[in-house]
Amino acid sequence: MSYALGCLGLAALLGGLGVLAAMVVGYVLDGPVLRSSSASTSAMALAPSQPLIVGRMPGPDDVLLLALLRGGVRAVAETLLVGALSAGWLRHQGTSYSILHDVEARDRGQAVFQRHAADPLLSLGQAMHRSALELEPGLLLRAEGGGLWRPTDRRLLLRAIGTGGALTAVLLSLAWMRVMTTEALAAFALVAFVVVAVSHELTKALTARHRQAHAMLTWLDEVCGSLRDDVQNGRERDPHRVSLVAALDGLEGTHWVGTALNVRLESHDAGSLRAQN
Amino acid sequence: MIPSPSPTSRAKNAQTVLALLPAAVRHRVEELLAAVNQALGRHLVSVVVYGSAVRGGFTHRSDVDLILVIDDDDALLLRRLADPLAIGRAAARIDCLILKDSEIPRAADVFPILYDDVRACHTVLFGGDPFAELVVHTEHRRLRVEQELRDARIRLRRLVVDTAVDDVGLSVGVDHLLKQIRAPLASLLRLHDIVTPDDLITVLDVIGKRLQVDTIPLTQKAASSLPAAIALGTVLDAAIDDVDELDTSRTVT
Repeated sequence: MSYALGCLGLAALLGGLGVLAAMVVGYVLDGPVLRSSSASTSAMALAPSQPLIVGRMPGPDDVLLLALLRGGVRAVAETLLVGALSAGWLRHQGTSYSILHDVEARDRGQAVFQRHAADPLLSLGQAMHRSALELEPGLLLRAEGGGLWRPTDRRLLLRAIGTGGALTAVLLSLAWMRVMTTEALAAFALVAFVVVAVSHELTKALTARHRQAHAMLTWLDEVCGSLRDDVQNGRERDPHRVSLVAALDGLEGTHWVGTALNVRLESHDAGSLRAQN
Repeated sequence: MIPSPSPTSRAKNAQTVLALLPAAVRHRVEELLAAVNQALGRHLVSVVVYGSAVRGGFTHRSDVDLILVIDDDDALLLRRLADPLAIGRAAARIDCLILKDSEIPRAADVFPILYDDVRACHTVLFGGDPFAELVVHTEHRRLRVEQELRDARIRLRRLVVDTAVDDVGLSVGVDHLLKQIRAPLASLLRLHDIVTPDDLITVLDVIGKRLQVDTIPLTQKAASSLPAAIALGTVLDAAIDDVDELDTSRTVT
């Protein structure tokens, strides 16, 4: 019996090592981006030229990326809308929206949205959705490059290392047990199942698609309290800062814009667009 | 002239002022101080806090007004402040003015209202007091008061036009302008040798009585924004006339 328990302990230990190996490999493959996990003083003093990282406030180019990480294409579309309204090139009155062509887009995302919004065949909701879809691949590439987004093949590799490691450990332990009664084998099978299942779940949690982005979004949630309040009550109207709050909270976070709109992406029935020169 | 406190009393003042702030804001101010210190090193001369955080009346929506005094404004050095200042602003509305130590006395002719406001109520959080030896001349003060009030009057006209269908925007704008003219109106009272607490409500009340204009729509939070904008215009017109006709033969600071 003690021999069987020893084998089970060994299986659990090796299974844990499998999870650990998955974490280490993920850490190396993801690159050295999000290793500062708190807004420490040293992180705050980092040079602004560094990539999106905990401790550095996102620049205008980072806002859509944050939106994508938080809420996917829909969040990007909503952030584009809020950015356009706060920049002033898109205006709403009732259920209709007008484009002011003499206001230049401030960044590529807004330029793409401006182009789609000017298409007379598209509703506002369709223009938002198409713009977000067009921007998505580039944003994903940036996220992957910055270690904020794990591509599918990397996630599968890490899961294979974690769960496969645990499974191998169990099989090795079983092979090591040269003599085993039927009762011991049943008990071993049960515990081995638990070891593999726990390892699988742990690996899954630790190798989630955007686990590192989660740390970034959590930190931003923490430091943007006053900004969020200022945008909600209309005190802050700078397009970049308003867009940042929209990226973090969606339309609900930008009360002064959101309540005035009735944009439904799914039904594409947002009000008609008309151009103004 | 406000005498410079001793280093010991300065430290006590700083601790007292910080202790009066909400814990979350205090934490952010302390974090910002540490980050700025680390970013600037020996180039950080002093840090001063002023405004409602010192004067009183600080609310959960108030700004924390800081002045960072540096001895070198090299662009690369300033860039190091980008993240600490952006985080401080987003997290706790910490608003930093960056001044160079050598420019403070030389700018007294063009920033008399700011300096009056700071000198009236400030606390040194780090280093020495850069405003202790300042001299502000009355004529500079009068000219600046007139300029600020006229600027606010022009902005108010444009605000009323731009917010024709945006009542929230008008309300926010009027609120912003009121905060902007608090210090000039307090300086105007000082030009009349009227010494009064310089919080917005008191200043509006005293100026309203002196100029015989109704300031009640400006102090009633529930009032709609258009009457407030009209009342603000009336106050500004009266104050501009007053400062324009002021005898500035006196030269005492």
